[in-house]
Amino acid sequence: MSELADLSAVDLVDAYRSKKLSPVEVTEAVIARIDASEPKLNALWAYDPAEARKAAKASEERWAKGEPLGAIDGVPVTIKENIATKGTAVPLGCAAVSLTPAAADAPPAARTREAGGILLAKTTMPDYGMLSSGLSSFHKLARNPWDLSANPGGSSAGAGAAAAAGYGPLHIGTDIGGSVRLPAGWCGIVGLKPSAGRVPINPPFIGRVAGPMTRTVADTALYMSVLSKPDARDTMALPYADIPWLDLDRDLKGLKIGLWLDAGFGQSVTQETEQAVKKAAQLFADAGAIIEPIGPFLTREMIDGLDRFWRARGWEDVSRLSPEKQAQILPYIFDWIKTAENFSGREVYTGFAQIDAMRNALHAALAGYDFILSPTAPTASYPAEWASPVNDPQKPFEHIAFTVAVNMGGQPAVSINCGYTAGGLPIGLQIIGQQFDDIGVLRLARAYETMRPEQRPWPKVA
Amino acid sequence: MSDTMRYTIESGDLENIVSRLLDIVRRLGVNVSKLAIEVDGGKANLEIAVSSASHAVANTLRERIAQIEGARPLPGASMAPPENQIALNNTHAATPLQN
Repeated sequence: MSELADLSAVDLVDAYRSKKLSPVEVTEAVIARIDASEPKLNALWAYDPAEARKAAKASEERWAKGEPLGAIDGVPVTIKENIATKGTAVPLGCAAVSLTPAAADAPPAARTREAGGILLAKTTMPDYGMLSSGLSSFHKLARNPWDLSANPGGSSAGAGAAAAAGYGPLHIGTDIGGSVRLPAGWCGIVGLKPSAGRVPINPPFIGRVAGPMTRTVADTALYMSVLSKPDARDTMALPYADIPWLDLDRDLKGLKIGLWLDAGFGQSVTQETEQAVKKAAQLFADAGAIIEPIGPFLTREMIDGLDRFWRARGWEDVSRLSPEKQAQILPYIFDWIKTAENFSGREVYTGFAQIDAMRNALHAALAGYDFILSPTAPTASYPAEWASPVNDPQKPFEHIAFTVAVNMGGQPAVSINCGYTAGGLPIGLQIIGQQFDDIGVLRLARAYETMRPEQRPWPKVA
Repeated sequence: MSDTMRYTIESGDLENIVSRLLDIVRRLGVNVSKLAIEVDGGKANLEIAVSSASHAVANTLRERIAQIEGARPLPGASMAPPENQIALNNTHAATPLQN
């Protein structure tokens, strides 16, 4: 039998219901895993085992009475630190941010607690969430459990590392350009970027979503049943939809799927990654799906424009800080943002307009297809100490081509492991669906999960 | 319609250049109508013409060739419209000012 810390949320809830396990013993097992692994991994912040033990005891009592609070009662959870939890500061990965306790739970945290999730800790992220890396001016350097010299990716860095290391089964990250899917791909887990507005968040922003990061598709679906509940604070949220999240079976016969292997800009896809994604596509074809190659449809202008807009947005905040505070920001991030100091309004607006261009390009590419398969990232993970796979603040987004368009387009997309490099690092497969078809991408991911070759054992860090 | 691109490459390693080019062309599935590479000591001149490639594919081809170590585009080739022109076109196409 698996160790308790490695059990899925679906299995845990079944075991609680049948009284085979108690949330107390499971929480203790996860705490033991964290205590053994965390000195090497640095995935957590505001880790509070005492509070988790109290919550587990309360959950145990509810299960004893047959009155669980919700779908994840007693399941250990971590939450990315930029998702506010009442009473805990929100450092945004940046030493320049004041540590003021949050006044209220943000929507994903509120839904998690309402459903009985046991909050163990917040997870780490880089400065302002603007790196696909575990590098931060505030947190210790987060590392990848598959290889401690490698990067977990980001910006949901701690969440990716925590899921792969077995810090309990449910984790939540945020994603504005790939920040759930990239660490999911590089850590070998499942990471869902839901449709824009499917999971209420606060603050909402163009392209920004929150999504589950788990080891199995069923756990992501289970967590979506909790996180997708409505919250009026998200002014960009979709109307609530009662989606059958746990109904994950589907026949693949006749599905038309595009295979997208060159995004159009950024890093080239490595041979290892291309082969792994092609093998995954072949499994879909063997199951009756029609696979057709899709050429590149994104352009250098699109990412350079979005980059200008994001720099300008960052400078608007950072320019208001004192020089002393500015000096506390990770130099890579500060050097990137500061270039916006003299941007003209035209440069910023034409950059902003590339969001539309990217959205339109992805919608056009998806026309006529049920889904698109692509690599999650062009390359496997890279050195832990680097800020990005290219590690150059003036070329910050060469690795996000496959993921960022989906943020701007608003479609759902999931990353699931599809193989390993010769060095043993995971390779992510991205499945992109039509707008609002969140259950569709989860069903496709579930089908792939059952078809793919047996996965390697999860890494042991301790 | 044919799209011609010219580059200078700071490398005399013809085998590597050809291998990289073939890989790029194969992956993008472009139709090459002309390919010329001249090596002169530690430097190479490259000319490649592709036909019937979409704007996005031609741009991607430029991006990929520029990623060959030491490659720089030469003037005189048919080029993509300037970035600000594309940005403005996209702006107008996507978000016309309206109330």
